[in-house]
Amino acid sequence: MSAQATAFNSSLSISTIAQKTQQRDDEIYQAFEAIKQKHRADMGEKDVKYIKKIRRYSRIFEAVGRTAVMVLPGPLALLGVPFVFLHRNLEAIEIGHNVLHGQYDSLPEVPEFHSHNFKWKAPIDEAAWCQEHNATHHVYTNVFEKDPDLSHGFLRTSADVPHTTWHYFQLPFYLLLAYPTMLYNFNSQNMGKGDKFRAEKFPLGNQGYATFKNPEKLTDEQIDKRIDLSVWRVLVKEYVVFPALALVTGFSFWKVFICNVLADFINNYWIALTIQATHFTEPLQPEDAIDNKLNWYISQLDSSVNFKGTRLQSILWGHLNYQIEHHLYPDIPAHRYPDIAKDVQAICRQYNLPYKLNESWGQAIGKYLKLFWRFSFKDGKHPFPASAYLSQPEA
Amino acid sequence: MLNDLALTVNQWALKNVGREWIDYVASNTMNMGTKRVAPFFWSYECQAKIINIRHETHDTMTLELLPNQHFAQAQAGQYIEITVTIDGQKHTRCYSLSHLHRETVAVTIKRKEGGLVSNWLFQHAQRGMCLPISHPQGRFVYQGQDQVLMISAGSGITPCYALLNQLLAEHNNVDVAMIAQFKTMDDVIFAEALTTVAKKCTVHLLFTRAAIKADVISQLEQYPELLERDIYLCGPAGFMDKVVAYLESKNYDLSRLAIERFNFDDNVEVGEQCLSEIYFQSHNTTVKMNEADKGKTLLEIAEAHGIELEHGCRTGMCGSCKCRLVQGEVTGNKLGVAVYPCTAYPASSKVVIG
Repeated sequence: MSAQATAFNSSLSISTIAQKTQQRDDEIYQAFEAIKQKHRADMGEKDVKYIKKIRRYSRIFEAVGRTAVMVLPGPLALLGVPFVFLHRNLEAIEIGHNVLHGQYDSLPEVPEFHSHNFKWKAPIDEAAWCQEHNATHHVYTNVFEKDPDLSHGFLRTSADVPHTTWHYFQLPFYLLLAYPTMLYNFNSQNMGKGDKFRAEKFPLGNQGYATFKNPEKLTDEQIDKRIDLSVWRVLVKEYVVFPALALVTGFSFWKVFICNVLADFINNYWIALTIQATHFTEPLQPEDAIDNKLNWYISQLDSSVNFKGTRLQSILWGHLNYQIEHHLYPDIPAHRYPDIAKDVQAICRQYNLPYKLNESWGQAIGKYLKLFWRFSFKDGKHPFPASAYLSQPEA
Repeated sequence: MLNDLALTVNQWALKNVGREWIDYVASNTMNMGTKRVAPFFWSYECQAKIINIRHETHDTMTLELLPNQHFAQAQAGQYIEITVTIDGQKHTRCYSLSHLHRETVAVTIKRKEGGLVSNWLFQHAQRGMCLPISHPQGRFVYQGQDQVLMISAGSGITPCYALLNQLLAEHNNVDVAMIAQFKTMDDVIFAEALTTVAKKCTVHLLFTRAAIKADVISQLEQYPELLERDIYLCGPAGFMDKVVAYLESKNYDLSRLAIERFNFDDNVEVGEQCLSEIYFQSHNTTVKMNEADKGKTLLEIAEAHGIELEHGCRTGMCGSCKCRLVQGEVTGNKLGVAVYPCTAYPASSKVVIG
């Protein structure tokens, strides 16, 4: 890019421009780093209180919800469903996702919220998820064939992914089948079951998709066992223990069962719509983006998009609507993102960097569903084409 | 009464449910209630309950321990660290395992004059008491040789005794002999058991303060085929130095000598320049840094020694590698009790990473 710039600017030597670019990159890096250091230095009681408070609310919602679905007669039991949903939602994302990022690892007061101790109340194996999510998705965000979240399952989200018959049905398939069971599909992605499916069904196999690298060197039996253990703990609790508890105390087994299915369904759909609305529409990143540490912040900024919401909504989205801040600082406690966002926006204004924000959740969902629709077709065009900031010639 | 009941239940569960399932259930049902009702299993820490205390001699006792589900599989010859809290201060000591069974292990402790932890244990240890322990550690384990000689002095017999029992039980084709030195006849640890063992292999007991004084060197002098045997040596520093010096004088191949030595030196060296010993708890592996490791990050050191630590960006950004710093000092990228191995450096002679 510097060569291009010199053509217009023959009075400046290549090295001066390179120097200036380097200096600007350094400044940007330092500015983002300063925000991180500010919040790292401030970590402490505030974060302990916050995470304990969220856990307390989760417990209260659980107690209210489970009691209501068990005790209330007939259709009134449905009143308990939103509470069970709130409990499961808080546990899955605002607590689970953030804790497994190690956001509370530095605080000795809360060993139960340390990533290595924590067990998810979600049907997902923690260790494999951490590998896939923290060590892969968060590092190679939006990098073609490297970011596993970019094209999960059989999804086609860019023209570079080879088209197959399956892709014609991707929009209804995901909306009707994948999303209602979203969390139950994570393990397949994280432990290579998806790769096997594509290798079998697609003419070009896994071309265009990121594959499972098996960093823990698990055998097939170990993988099956890990999947079973992580799923059964949820199934047994939701569909055996609580319905059976109702039965032995003289209430209806099936009423509790159905209410729990409903809460599970809402929770899966909610989380699917949240997590899907944050990267697909954004530019693919160059493969070597993270080879240079200075590119980290710019690449993460460029590959993520936020959507607006109130403080309470943000908690129910696990603060994932602050996706930019989350990708810049994945292991700073998420409840700090609204504060961090102000500083990040200021830096973006100062250096004229892209800061992408959808006005609402609905808008974000609409945009990515449009993208799903477009890429269901072989020659579908990207609805929001843009090249990566890092690949653009210097402004 | 309640104590005994809890012990019985714990023991039953470990035997019949198994460590893996206990861990699965306990870790997934960890909350304030379960932690209070059954803190032995519902805990993130590796700990053990004392289930039996046996006095071996006037100044040694064997504690039979029931470790909880976090305890890794132990090998004969290994040691564990036991932590006791005295007046609010935590003190940790290493003790070799003297017995290994399916659910339990035992340590044999000698009461040391002025020894803080051993004296405290002699006074306070009782059935049902719960103590934080470490994973079994150490490389003083059987390496598959055909001819083995154990040489020990005093309480140094503990790991040798465990090895001897393992060899007799699992490898009956191994030719094993033991030389154990004590002060007097009354100081012999495992006296009864050794008499039984002596029927199956050669056991020489030497006494340094008995009427007929015997010296380990003169015993070794007379020892046939000494040079053919692989030697396991454990005892006080002076004793071991003497034996090593003798073996050197006989041109014994020292690579065939295994030594168990506990460093009781409390002067911990601090600084980036020291060659640290790094214990990766999650992998239950200890790495001794060499010159080539100097200046490397914890992640690079682990990789150089064949340990795969979870990691992502390698620049301290993504947080995938975050671990807990249990003991020692590190420099570089750390926050509270968390360290980022990809961008942190060891900075004390001993570092324990959780």
